[in-house]
Amino acid sequence: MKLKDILLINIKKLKTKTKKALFLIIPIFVLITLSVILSSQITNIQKAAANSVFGTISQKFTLIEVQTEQTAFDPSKAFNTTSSVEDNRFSALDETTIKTIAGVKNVSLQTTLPVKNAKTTDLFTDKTVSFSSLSTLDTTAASIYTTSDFTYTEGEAIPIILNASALTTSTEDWGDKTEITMDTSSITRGQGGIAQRLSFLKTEAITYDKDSLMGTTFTMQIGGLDTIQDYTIDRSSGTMVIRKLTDEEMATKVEERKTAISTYWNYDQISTPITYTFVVVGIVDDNTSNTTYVPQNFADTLVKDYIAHEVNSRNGTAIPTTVLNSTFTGVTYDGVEVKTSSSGMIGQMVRRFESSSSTGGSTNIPHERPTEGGLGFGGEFGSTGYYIPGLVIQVDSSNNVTGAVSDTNIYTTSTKYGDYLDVVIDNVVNRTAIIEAINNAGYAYQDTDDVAVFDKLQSTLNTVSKVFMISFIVLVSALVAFTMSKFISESIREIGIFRAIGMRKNSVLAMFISQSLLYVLIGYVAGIGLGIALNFVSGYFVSGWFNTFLTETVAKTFNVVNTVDKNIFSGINFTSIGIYTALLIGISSIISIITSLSASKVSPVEAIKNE
Amino acid sequence: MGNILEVKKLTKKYKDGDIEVTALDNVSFSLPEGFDLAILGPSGSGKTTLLQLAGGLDTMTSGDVIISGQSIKNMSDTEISDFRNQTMGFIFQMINLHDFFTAKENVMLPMLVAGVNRGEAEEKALKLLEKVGLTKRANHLPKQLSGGEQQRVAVARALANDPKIIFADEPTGKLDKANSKLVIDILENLSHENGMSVIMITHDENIAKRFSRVIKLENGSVKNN
Repeated sequence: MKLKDILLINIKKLKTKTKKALFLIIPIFVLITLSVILSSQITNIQKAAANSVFGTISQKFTLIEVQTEQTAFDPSKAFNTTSSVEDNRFSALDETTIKTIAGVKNVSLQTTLPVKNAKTTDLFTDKTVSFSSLSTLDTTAASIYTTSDFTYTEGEAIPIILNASALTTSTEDWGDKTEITMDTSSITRGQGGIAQRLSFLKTEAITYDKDSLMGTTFTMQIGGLDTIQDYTIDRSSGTMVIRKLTDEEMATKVEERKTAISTYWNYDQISTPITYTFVVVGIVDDNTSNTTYVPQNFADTLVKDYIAHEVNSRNGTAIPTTVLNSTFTGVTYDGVEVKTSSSGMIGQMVRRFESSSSTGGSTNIPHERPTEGGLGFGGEFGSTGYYIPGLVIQVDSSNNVTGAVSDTNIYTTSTKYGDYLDVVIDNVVNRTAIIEAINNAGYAYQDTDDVAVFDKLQSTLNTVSKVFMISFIVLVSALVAFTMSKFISESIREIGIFRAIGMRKNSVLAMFISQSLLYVLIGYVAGIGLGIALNFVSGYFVSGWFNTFLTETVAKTFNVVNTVDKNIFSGINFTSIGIYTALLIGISSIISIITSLSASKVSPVEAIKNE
Repeated sequence: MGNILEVKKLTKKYKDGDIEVTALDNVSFSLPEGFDLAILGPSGSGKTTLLQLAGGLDTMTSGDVIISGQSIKNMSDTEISDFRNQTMGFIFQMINLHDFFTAKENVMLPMLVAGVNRGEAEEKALKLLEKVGLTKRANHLPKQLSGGEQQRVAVARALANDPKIIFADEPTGKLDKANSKLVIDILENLSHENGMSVIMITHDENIAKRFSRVIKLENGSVKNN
């Protein structure tokens, strides 16, 4: 029998037994309508959440920055050369450990470069921006912040990821005064901020346009001598007097330093910074750190240049060990690691303080001001020594100075440590589990509740999606199996007649399979049509719900909430529709074949049974 | 002239629970071409079983059935299906039309099963319906036809592929006298016209008298020949 004629039989059956057929057609129709709407809207919500609402947050959540445990500031350890922070840092070993955790895509050590006085004057008009902390970032971790390749290529502008928190500018405003007296009797150590105490220092954020800043090329000067502090602080019980130095006093200080440095170095050469050209490829705009990132493969080049610059600036006079770490400071090398500053705390404080920047052309910004918790230390620090950029001081295990290092490759060959491990994970949804594994591996990391909100939304939607798909499979199977079994059991005599007339088993099989598929197909086509139409309607409601969710829940949890384009919710997930189509065809075919086999086994004797 | 039907030592046994029932016991007869046969007998005598086996609708326990020189005993399901379609026509007591087909479509069905083009099948179906006097009813569904009309459609369907032999199981059992006579008349005329043999089960001695051959069954065996 021709397949065409078999199909025509089914169309005849459908016409005369429409009600029966609807038992299969309607449920399939409803299921497909729902699957179109549900799968599309789930994707739309996820897309809206990922793209518009959480913005960088969602992407940021694929990065876990494991930090070393910071100990509370202890003044008695302020001059202790072996700070606990220094001892408790990450190395390549930690990278290997965390890399074994399932779901971890990449681990990289964030190493702070032992360089100082990095600044640019041409990134923003009339503004100098200082980069207090230059860290390395490997290409995988960098992909969180940039779509560009974060690799240094010789002869090309070096890609850099700026930090919005570091884009600040500081000014000094003495008004018409040259001396400020402050009542310090109510201030206890560790309280209050710098602005409260040094009211002449003003810091403000630089406003920038992210889109136009991206791709901008600028030069950065690294190294050079520190800015000389242009004020003194005199303290007596309960008061603090800050006095601006006179021009003569400043000139004297500059001259004193020049004389001291010129003993061992070519002054002009050592005071000239090295210049590099960078191109902005990314901007970190959360405020958790103020680190500026450069490519991992640029670190060795930069530090080598930096050290070589110092070595080449020496005038030939041997530098006695007694002046190292006293009259002159730099970085130290203990046979393992090149460390910033011999006095750990001072180095830390200086780096932290340097996050502010100075106005263009201004050379009289103090660099060693007192910072939080370090009230009144400025004066003492100011006299600890002159910073020589690139100077590497060799120390023994007891931190005794043994000489100045002349090997420019010392950083390249030394072991790198870092305060951060950048752990990139495969999916935000796995974040909670991965953090637990990191904790179990012995690393302290605590996620904030904000993440849970995001996690929950995404995983709830994924669960809804999965549950629906499983229900879909079960329902389609049950529906086709049930209705087809019923059709067949009600058609025993009919099949008997077909067989008595001479219809082959295979034709009976084909007849019932095609009947089932025809009904499923009708339900499917109608369902897709209505589903797509209703998706636009439901998009309207989902969009309304989502905006309420945004303003009433998300906005209160996260600072950054972008508006959502309503059109996102009229999106149709054709991939999901494809999956449901494939599932429907697959399942109904299999179940139809199984049930129709029983139809083909009906004996032609059934036609002749007289009952 | 050979035999259109040869039944040789045909036996059918089946199990009803643990008891083995012999529905047909060693039945043998033959029917020459051009002859008709009436099978008489009380209910339970094995008439229907004989018809089922002879028509290849059911499998025999032993013996053989030869139709138009071909043994159907060892035919595969596909072979016997095709053989039934081409060589045999069936008319049942219960009026067995497909309720979703019109009269014409029901008649077309055996031809479609045989792979005949729809146009050809339709033309022939209309001719057959004309012969059974149902031209005006061609596009009616079975439920729109009377019992007698439905059975005439069944007769037309049985003739569709010009079979050599027609099996009829009390085709007038559910019809009134007038309709019974009409159906039998049509069947007789058409089969003779086309040189077909009709094998019919009946319990009506008067109808049986119109047949050239009659066998009587009792308890699964032939009473006389």
